[in-house]
Amino acid sequence: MSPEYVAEQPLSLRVIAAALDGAFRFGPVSVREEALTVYDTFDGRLAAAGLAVAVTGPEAIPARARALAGRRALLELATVTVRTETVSLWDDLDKTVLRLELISAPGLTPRVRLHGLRGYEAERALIFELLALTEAPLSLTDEAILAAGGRPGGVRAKVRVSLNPGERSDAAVAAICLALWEVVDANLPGTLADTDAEFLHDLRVCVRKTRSVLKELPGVWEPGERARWREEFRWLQQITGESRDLDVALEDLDALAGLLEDETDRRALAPLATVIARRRAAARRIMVRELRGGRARALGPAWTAALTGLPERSEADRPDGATPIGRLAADRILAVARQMVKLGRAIGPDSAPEEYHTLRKHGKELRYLLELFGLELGEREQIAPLLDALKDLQEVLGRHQDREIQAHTLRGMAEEIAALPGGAQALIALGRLLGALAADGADARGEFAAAFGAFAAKPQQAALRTALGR
Amino acid sequence: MATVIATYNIKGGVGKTSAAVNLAYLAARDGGRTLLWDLDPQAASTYLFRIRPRVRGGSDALIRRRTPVLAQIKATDHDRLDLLPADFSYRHMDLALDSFKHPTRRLAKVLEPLAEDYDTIFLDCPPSISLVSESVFDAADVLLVPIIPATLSSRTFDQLAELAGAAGGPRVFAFFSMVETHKALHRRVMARLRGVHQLTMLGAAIPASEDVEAMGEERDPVGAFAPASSAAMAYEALWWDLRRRLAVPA
Ligand SMILES: Nc1ncnc2c1ncn2[C@@H]1O[C@H](COP(=O)(O)OP(=O)(O)OP(=O)(O)O)[C@@H](O)[C@H]1O
Ligand SMILES: [Mg+2]
Repeated sequence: MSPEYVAEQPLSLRVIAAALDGAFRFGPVSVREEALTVYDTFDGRLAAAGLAVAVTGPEAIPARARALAGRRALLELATVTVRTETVSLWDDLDKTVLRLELISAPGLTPRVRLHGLRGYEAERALIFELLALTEAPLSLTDEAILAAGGRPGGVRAKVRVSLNPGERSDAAVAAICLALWEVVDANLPGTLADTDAEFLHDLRVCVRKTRSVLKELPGVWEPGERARWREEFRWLQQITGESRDLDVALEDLDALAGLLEDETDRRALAPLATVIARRRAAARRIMVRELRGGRARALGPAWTAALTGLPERSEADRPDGATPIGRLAADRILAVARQMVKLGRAIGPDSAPEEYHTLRKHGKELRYLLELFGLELGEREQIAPLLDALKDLQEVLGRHQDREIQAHTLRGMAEEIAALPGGAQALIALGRLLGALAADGADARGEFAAAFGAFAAKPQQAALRTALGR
Repeated sequence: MATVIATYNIKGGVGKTSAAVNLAYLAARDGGRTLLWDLDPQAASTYLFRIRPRVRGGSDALIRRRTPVLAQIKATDHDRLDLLPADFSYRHMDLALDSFKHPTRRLAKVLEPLAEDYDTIFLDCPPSISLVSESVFDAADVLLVPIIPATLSSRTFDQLAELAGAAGGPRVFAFFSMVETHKALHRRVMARLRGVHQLTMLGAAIPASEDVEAMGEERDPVGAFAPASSAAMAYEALWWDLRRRLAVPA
């Protein structure tokens, strides 16, 4: 898409003609007017891919956009009536030297697109100058989204707050937690309305990151305050947990069935979907009631007030409040990384599941610390490879554990499945599925040594120390 | 690789420029990236696309490749159709060519850098036998020869037959131009020529038409301002016939 340009004064054909001052004449003008709706996912997947979709209606959304959206719902972010006037600019021989599109919509800044012609670059430059054009700071679609109260680019769970290594730790922590809370809050309506499952997922990711910050950097808080907020966020995580697990169960159903080789077995699993859907509906009812309740509604205002006031509070009980965040975060990151290396080295083929589980929990903490603090404070290019190795390791560890959780969830549904029509066959298929799950989980354990080796490699860990300046 | 098609006839005023302009327009309309190089100092094709007849550094700079050929090209008002203009300096193109060791290979050299930019390149030639036309024979894959059925001289015919028979030269196709089918002479000449085996006559003939004449007023191809006219239809048929034949290797 060619760039959009604006001028100091609002552009119109009259303004343009006056500015051209007889140097170029207008050829015939064609006018098109359409009511366009801007679509994107809540997290702005289309915008991120450089694909702004402003179309006449849902049926006109391109297949590529639908594919990019994946499981996320495409939301109507804004509707605008766009008027496009296309005019050829002619030289003294009535030869077209440039085609100009003037794009306007009520309440938005009018803008032009220029389609130059080969061999008429000098004329284009002159027209550019006569109209005193500058690149539009916001695209028309972004302006429309903003005017409709939305956020151009969408709301992403991957928050980035730029940090200065010398700034006070409490101020840095407050800034990050406020950004995380914004995402939690923004995802709440979609979670309540069940617009798609990713609202709840993104909400929970940011709650988990908030809990990590509270856990890993204790010294910026007074102990009583910190305990209070840790309890509040533990509770928020807990009341949303079952709904999320059942969202995942539903999404994974096809993949799980794929573990079964026999087509009849796969079809016999149908009652499973019924049971999961039923349980999911029940879990959601409880979650929605809690999220609409007094405790949840009080949380946001109290938390944001606590965060904004944090740097001003007495430092008597907060030994790290004024510590430079560069130092505090680096020390914590390196400590967790060391701890992981130690734990991982102790793991062998015969280790109990709890040991893998503990390692995974540390891995999660490290990942959040690196994403929220490490990448902002240290050398990005040096940290990124370690982060990738860590993600691979987490994937291996996660598969192992997720399979166990899945098996546990499925076993818990056996009775309910048995009571449904086709229940007996479903149970037989379920038995086979549990067997297949155990085998798949064992595979993941086999991959552990390699994934851990890549993460714990000496040069990798040394690079982390260098990157963080320790 | 671009296919190079030259409209050529030793005689003047037979419809070379009209054919080049209208066929190039159709080639671009059909989706091909198309260039028309106006080789005639009279700059008739350049005029018909409303483009100023001006070549920076003149034909000399172009032939000696002192200016990049792409920088001399102008887009016409029609999508995918570009023009390499002529100007008065083209009068001396022969002289510029003559200073090279292999003058007849020169135009092909000038076009070389454009091979990947265009699917079809039309050359609109001036009427004459000169170093320029010989250079055109070397650069072109196809010579397209308009023939007015009334005025075919034996000299023209001999030259055409020789060109068509030359090994390694361009493929030669001819078509009837400015045909007035009500004239018995036209019908006789056409029948006679169709029977000559050295020359491939294309089936489509361009009728004598006021719409073709009006191109000078409109400064546009007939297909652009009178798409339903018989002349526009005839150029469509000619283009269709030529394309079909080019699809089959010689
Ligand atoms: N089919 C036609 N019907 C009527 N007039 C035509 C037709 N074709 C060409 N003409 C007219 O005849 C004149 C010569 O045509 P054109 O310029 O195409 O020929 P040419 O071979 O390129 O001439 P030159 O040798 O001067 O370059 C022009 O005025 C043109 O408008
Ligand atoms: Mg001519």
